[in-house]
Amino acid sequence: MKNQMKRRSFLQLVSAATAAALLPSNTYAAEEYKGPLYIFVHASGGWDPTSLCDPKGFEDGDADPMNKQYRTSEIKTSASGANIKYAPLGNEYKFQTFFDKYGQDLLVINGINSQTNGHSSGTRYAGSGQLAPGFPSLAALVAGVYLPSSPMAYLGNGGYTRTNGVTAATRIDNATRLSEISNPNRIRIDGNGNDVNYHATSAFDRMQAKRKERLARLRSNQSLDNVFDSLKQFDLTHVSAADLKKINQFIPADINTHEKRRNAIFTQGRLAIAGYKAGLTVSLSVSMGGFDTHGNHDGNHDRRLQDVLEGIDLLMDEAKANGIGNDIVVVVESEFGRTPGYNNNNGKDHWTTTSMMMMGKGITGNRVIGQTTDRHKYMKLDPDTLAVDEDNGVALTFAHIHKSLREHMGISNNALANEVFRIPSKIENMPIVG
Amino acid sequence: MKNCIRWSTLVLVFASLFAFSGCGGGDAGDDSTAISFKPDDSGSNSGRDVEEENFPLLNETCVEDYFKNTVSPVMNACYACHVSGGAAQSTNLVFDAVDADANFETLKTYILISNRNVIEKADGTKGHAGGTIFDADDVAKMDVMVDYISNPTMCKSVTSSAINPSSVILATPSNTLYSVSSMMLGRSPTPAELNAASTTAGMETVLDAYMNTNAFYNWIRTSFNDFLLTDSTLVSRSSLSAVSNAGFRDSVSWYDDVTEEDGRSIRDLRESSLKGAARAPLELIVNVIKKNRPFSEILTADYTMMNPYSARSYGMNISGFSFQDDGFTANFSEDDYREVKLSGIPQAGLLSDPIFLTQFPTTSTNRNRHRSTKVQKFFLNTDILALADRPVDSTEESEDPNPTMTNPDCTICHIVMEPISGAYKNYRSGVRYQVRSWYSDMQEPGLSINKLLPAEEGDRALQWLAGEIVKDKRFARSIVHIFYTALTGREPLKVHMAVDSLEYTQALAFEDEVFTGLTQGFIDSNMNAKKLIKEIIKSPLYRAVGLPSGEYNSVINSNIGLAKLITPENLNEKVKNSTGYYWVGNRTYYKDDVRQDKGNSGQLLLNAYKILYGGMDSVNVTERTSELNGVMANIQIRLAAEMSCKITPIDFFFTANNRKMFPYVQKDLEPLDAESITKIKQNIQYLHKHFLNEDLSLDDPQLKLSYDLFFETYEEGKANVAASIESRNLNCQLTRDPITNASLSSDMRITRDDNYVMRSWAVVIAYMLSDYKYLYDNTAQ
Repeated sequence: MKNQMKRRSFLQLVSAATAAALLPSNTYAAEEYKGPLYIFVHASGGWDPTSLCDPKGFEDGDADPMNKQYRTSEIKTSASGANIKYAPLGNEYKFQTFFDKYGQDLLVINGINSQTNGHSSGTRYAGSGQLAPGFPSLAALVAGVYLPSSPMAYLGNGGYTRTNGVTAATRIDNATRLSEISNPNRIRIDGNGNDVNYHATSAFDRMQAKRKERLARLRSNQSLDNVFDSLKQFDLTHVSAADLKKINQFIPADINTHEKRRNAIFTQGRLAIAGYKAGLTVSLSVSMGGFDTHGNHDGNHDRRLQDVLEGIDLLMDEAKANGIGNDIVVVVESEFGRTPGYNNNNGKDHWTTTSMMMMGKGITGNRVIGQTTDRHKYMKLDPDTLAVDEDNGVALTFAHIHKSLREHMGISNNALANEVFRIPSKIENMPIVG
Repeated sequence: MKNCIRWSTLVLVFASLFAFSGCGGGDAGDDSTAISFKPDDSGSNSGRDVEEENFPLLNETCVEDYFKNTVSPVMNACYACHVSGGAAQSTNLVFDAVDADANFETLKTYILISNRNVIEKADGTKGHAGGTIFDADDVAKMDVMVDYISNPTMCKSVTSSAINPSSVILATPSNTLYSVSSMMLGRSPTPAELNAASTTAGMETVLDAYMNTNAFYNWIRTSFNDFLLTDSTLVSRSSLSAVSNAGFRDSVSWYDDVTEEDGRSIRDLRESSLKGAARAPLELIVNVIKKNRPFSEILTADYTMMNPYSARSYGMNISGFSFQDDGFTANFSEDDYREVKLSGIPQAGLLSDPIFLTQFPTTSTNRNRHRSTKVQKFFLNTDILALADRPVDSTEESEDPNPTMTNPDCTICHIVMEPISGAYKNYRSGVRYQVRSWYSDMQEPGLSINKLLPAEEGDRALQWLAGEIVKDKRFARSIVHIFYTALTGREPLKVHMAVDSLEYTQALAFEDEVFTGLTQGFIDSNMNAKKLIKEIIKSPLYRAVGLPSGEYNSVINSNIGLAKLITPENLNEKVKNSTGYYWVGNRTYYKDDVRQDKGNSGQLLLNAYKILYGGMDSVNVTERTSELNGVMANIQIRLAAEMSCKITPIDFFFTANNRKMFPYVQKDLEPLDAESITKIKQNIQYLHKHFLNEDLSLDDPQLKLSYDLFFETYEEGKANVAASIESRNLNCQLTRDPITNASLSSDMRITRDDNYVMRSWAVVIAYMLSDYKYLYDNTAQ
């Protein structure tokens, strides 16, 4: 017991930590998740909020314009959320489509101090709430709290996907194989709709039971935590693996043929929705790349932002069509922002002020938290009122937002979140999400 | 009896210390790192409630203990920058990454000179480029440290311990060999090999033989591609574009001028050229290892590895190798790689290879910074991106047009990064070598700001850089880390800012002691990679099965030994070697099938299931999944269920001495008498050895479990057949020759299983194929 407790304390330090060490041995069976499906979208490379939800245009005669694509006077307001301003960009998919449709649902958080210019550090910070290594992604953490041993509680497709042992990340590139994989003993279905199996069901079940017994004996022989934990994780994963077949009935028939299938947010989101409806999935991390526009910023960045907004739009429509439109939370972030103005290559470099957007169950929309200067520098906030207070306020960071998100998810007091992967008490509690 | 002191005014402050010391109850009381302190009678710490008396006067050892056990762990945030090569290397406070003795002296000197300055920097009171990194607990601990250094104080050291690497319990040589064989060769050791590995020296001899096999060199290719990702140019079919961009546009598509009458189609010739170009970096590494040359040659080689086809793409005409003069009738192998020098280009091994330069590209704004970051991470044990792990704020716009040279938030990385970016100055436009000047608004070219590129070396800057890198001890350490990760699946522990645990610090020191020894041995061996691989395998990092009795460190215990999920590529080979066939799904299994050829895409673990089973493609998926998930577990079960059904009748088709799995039994041998039962148990005993490397006696509980699986399945199945609940026919029938696929005569076919014996064996085989020990490289006992 002593060793187990100590190991818990240090799990976050160990790159190869496994879920097994954190899970009670009888975790599975009784789990039932009733919370929302969490979708975390990462705009990889560092997006430009001034071209999106913290719009800053140019003025005539502006020697160093924040944006060359639109005038300040052209900044638009959402038709459904009067507090939401956005950049008037997009061609194939217009930003107006997104913001008019979702303004009433959107919580925009501007003026976040990302505290880093490094891609990997920033991705980690935006995804986990801790700048330094050692924390799992919030998507993994919430899955680990609510469905730790489901065969696909957490779909880790992109962005920051470290799990640090709280659950296992599942990556699915080929959904058409899921039916075959999730019925591992089945050869085919006969004309009467019955499974024809490789092994008699009773023999197959006996084999699984004997293996569990053997694993228990093997574990008792091990003195290395490394091997012991790995054995335990192997056992637990196999116990729960049989449930994977529940997803099959929910996978859209056109998942590999839909005209928008190449949009990762949409396709991975459809898988997550299927997993959620099957009672298997809590969260998804998905990433869209191409935002590191050190050159030709306007030519490249706009298109990628369109992909993100369209992907979310498609995903929300899919959720509604599946009857879970009110049971989904989407969080969109990027590792940092981009410099005010342009470099010599018409690009924008790294900048430690950025934004996030989120919407969904339990999140009040048509709100903007945080503020930036005309040159896109974050402004300090009163941690209680969230009003700008440059003299006595605090700089809003990913840690603050994650602390609030954890509260919103109802996991703040869970031992995993509160003891093992604790956001320090010195990070102020700010009423951000909700 | 613990010598514990309760300081009423500092109880909260020392909460974490007491957790180590066992004071205040709890089950940590037997921890071996208890330390207690007491102020002297006249000191400045009056007010502390002293429970026990007669402590010895302060001595150096005691203060040093306090530093190592309590203060040093909270200073990991400091060590992240205040080390040689770190962002704060130019300050007055530079630590060693892991040497606690040296760090104690460094801190002591600093405190004696500047008193509480260290605290005021770390808590943000004074200007500190690293920002605020100490919280109240950390400050309190450091306060005591300053107090003890600055003032006469009493304390008592109880114990302080760390685990000695040489005391770790190791796997036997033969068990170690089993792990290596599985990992490198995808097969079990032969009985002769296991016999030879009865001693460590014998194991080394077998390892020497392993390291001359093609399978070993494939493992090398895979291991290095896992981080170099140069196969991406093969997958994306862009390797010849890289050759073209390197200045060989005229010759790169030589095959377009070839007519099919020459023997091979244009498409085939192009494929061979693509592969030859793409594989050049990995073949260079293989070449150096194969020829037992110093491993430093991977950076200093003044040649490129080419096959006959890529040689023509480079426009090289080498008689007897490139077939420019020889036509195409000769049988040139695309796997025949040679060293070829490119005139006019001062080559520097991997660093100047067009494929490496394409995989790690540059732009006019990036200015080789990406390349520098990768070179330092791979070959100088320096993770520049980790320097960005501590908070910075780049949102202060200034009139300074060049913040990367002047703003501390930028220079923290750029001062380390840019000299090597500059050493790439002759590749500033991409992958083509062109002698160029370097930017004046960046750090000067060099290895570091302290080791600049001599002006006379400008034309061959990369060759100069390669020479400097391999002389730097960090290069040898990097290579140790690369092979360690390849062998264990783990990355070395890192100094984390957020970590303040004694166990972690001790684990760092433990690992460092082993790595330091391995690094020195590697250098002393003239950087012989094979010797290094053997030394890592012999070390406790790879071979551990337990810590010495009575000692425990959770971090060490989770970072030694093996528990590594076998990659899809290796599992694919293991299945073939242990069953006789690759897993190709629900098809007819026969040896002559093209799908049974090595590397064929019909093998599920190389194609349809590769990514789902945690593999990577070097382009879209560039990291392996090392943690088992539900999808992967189902793939394991499907492999076991499908393969066992398919191969059981096949194995029984052959004579007993030609079987892989059933040498002791016949397909209808029932457990009806003692003799039969013994044979069945002997076969199960054989299977445990064959699939799982377990030496079990016939009465071992694990063997009994397997036998019970066989017997209970047999008993139930036979009854079901008799009751017509189940068919007499096998679901996986053998009607065609398992070698040629020719139709078998009816008497040779295996289609019925009247007494349910074969189906019972098939379930046992599924049990073996889905076992942890089969699916993981492991040091499980």
